[in-house]
Amino acid sequence: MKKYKPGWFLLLSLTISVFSFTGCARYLVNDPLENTSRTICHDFSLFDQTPDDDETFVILALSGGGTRAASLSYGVLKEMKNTPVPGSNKTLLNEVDIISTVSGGSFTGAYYALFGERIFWEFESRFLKRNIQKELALKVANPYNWIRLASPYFSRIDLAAELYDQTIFDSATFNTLAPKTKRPFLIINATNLYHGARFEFTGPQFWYLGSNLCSYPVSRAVAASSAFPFLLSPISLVNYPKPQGYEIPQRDRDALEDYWNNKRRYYAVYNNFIYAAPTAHKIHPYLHLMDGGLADNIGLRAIDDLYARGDIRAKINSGKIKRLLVIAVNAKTESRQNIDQKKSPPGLVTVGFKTATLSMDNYSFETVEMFKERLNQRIQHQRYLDDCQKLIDDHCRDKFQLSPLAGGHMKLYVAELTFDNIPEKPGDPDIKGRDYYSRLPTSFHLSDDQVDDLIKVGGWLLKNNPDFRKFIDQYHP
Amino acid sequence: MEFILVRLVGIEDHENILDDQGKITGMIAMFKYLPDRDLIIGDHIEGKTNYTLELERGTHRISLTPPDDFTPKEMKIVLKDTTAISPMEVRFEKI
Repeated sequence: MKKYKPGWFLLLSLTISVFSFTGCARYLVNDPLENTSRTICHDFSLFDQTPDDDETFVILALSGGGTRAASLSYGVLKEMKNTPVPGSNKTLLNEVDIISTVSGGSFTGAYYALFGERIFWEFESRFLKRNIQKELALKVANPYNWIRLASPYFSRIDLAAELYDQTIFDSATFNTLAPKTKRPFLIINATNLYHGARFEFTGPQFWYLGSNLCSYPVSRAVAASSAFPFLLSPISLVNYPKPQGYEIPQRDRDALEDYWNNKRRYYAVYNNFIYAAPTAHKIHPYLHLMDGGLADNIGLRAIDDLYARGDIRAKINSGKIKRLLVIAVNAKTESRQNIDQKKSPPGLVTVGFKTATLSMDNYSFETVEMFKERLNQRIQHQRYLDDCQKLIDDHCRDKFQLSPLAGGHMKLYVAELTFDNIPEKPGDPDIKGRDYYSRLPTSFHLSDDQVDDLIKVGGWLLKNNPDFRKFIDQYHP
Repeated sequence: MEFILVRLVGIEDHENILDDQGKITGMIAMFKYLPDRDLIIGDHIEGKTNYTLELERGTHRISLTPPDDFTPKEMKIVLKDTTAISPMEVRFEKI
């Protein structure tokens, strides 16, 4: 009879356990919708607010850019906390209604939306001043995780999400954000790798997947939003068969008729509808999400959608908003490096990095300008109506009254906070010249001094922004 | 963006159309604009009658909030080529 040596047994059993264990390592999946009668979880249109709360409507868009973006955003929040709203006992931070975030900005936005003003005594030590990159590398280097990473259903991004969940977000799910009176409403943005469209972690977006967002961890949404290409892998979601009675909203069905009338409106719905069509769960059973910056690195596209066709539009048309302030915190850097000082063309790594980031920066600039133009158009229309009414009043006997524009003389402001706004010599001892900030790297580790400098300059940029000053000066309760 | 003005109109009175001999040949209905009523656009309550609303170019379904005393029950429109001064005007009649 053949005898087996104990060493072989050990190796065999180890191999079997490794393979069974790797089979077990799977990413956390989103839950299916149980039925269609439940209210959608984390849906801005369901937030109950008194009419007064919408009069001053403040939106924050927090860009990507790793710890640099997170620190800059945090500095802006700090300044808003110290800015009283004229004629009230509120601060400007209390007035924030929506925060739309991308990548690095998602850490700050999600932390504030979840834990409120706790952010001001916890966030620096819990995130900004930690070496997240090193901690992630240590996790990857841990042999226990090698086994898990050998599974095709578990990757580096899942380790990152675990780290964020345990050490930053206290295992919070979107259920924590669901209470209908808890503003600000948080929109974490990622990018759907299938068609490159923006994907937001909101109830209505999950509705298209036949999925309930409530039980999904905020940390995984933040991980998807900040999954920088090549360094991290995508976060995956399941598109479920839809329960009986499932329908997409009428507004979306109307938009699907608008291919020739309005392609922007059509595609905003179509890119989601492909997951909601009757057999969509068979054709597109999964979604793979990466860094929100690939679709929009400033977080303003979500706001533009709400302004053009969503809940902000409904509030304007219902006359609820008197003044709208959008603060876009853009941590983009001047990524010019020294390319034009070398005779030889840049290497593969530089070209790869440039390819991934140049379009983001160009697109961010265009997004801000497009949004500003949209708001300016509204102001112009108000002016046309006023001028026309004045002509009628001055020249016609019959005092014909033009129909008033819904929302009346709403005031609109866009304050873009970017390092480009800083002079080379700012004349403030706490603030360094523009070049210093523009050369800070995009990573999840900066020195404590760099973080402190970014926090200070965030406040400085807000205080010294002419559009923000205009908002404060024109504020009449 | 495009512009739409929704009215709810009621018949206030009728005026006869007379021929040269003073014979009644027809009737003109005199309409009046009824007070503001909330609108349903798509499936959301949004805006009121008698106000010019800003909406995206394209297809919209417009209706009024209860009471259910108007006709037609819903109107499907394609909104385009309007300005704030000359919005598309849509009328519902009070039953």
